Amino acid sequence: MKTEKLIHQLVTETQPIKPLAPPLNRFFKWVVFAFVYFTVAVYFIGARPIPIETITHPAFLFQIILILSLVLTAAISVFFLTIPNKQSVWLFLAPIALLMVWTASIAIPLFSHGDIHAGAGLKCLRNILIVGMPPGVFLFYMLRRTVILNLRTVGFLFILTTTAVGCLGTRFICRNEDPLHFLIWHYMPVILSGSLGALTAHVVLLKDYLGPHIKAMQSNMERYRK
Amino acid sequence: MKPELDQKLAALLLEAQEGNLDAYESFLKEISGLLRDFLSKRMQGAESIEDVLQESLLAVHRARHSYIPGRALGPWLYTISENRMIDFFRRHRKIQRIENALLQIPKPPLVKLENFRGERVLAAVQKLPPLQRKIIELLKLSDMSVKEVATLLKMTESAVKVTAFRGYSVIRKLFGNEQSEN
Repeated sequence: MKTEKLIHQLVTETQPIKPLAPPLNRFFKWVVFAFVYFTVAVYFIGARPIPIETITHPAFLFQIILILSLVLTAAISVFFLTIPNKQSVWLFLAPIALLMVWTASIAIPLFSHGDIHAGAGLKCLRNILIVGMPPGVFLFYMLRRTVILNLRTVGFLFILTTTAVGCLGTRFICRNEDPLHFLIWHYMPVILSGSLGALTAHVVLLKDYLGPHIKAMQSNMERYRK
Repeated sequence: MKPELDQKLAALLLEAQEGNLDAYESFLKEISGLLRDFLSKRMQGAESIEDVLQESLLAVHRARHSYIPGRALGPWLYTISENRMIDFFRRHRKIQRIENALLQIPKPPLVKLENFRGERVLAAVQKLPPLQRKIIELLKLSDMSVKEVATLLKMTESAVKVTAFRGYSVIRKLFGNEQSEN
């Protein structure tokens, strides 16, 4: 089929279309939703009483700021990476750098603590899900009209954002301050589900979500070529 | 892309987003020239360039809502086209892998066809695209099962069936055309 004919076909089938809002606007919208839901969820699950010494302790503060930064940078990267553009490599490197710092901040206390116990953590997993899932669903909803060109990266950062929100919530709920418990029941779910997100992005983001969009495009191609 | 051209194209696209058909046509015509140059610097083979160009235009059409007013249009446009080109190369590599695998398969023994119609069927099979031809040869001439063909070509059974079905349809069409010509 001739390109001119294709152009003519595209022009005849075009309709007014609402442009996507800028990524920063959508990011702030998501942050507001996530913050409100986060506060409500932590309140209803039951925030632990945190002594003033703990809140003001540099290690605790550092962890909170680190996870919060990870959530925000991963989310902002997701919004920017789903717009076709020449992307800065920092959109991917910034969350990864924070993730590495976070990993180090969890690994170091493991060696300095003498007696470590993982303890039970199924409730922590449940809380990560309860706190993280709705912001994740909302984020997924906000990505519905975007153009995802790098599925694995977006898949990884998307799940990382979601689970990191859940992980941040459990810091205010879980009373167990043992570094091994934190590693196994708070940190590992974030890493494992993030990796799972990268591996399944082709199925979740492409087939179920953007699938019809891309399939329609391909069938159009077939139709036009005939 | 020069800033003036970028601004001009961005203005056309914004009008197109609002439903202005003339602006959209001008936009698509302008970018098809730009993208053709962009692709021909990176690809070989005029036919493939035109294919990728058409895919790029479709992708631009589908993603036209994702252009954000006020931003440079060039990076948006070239990212979409580059992505289509990468996708094309990936598909091309996959097809080449299958074709290389096909070359290593011994040719099926020729079936002695006793009538003219049989020869015509065989001639029609030869006209099919390589993958369809190979699958039909393996299924019908070498008498292999769908499962065996699927294993041999590292495809799923349903993919083999679909490809064979497409091949049969093409043969049927060829015969239909011949009959209508007669």
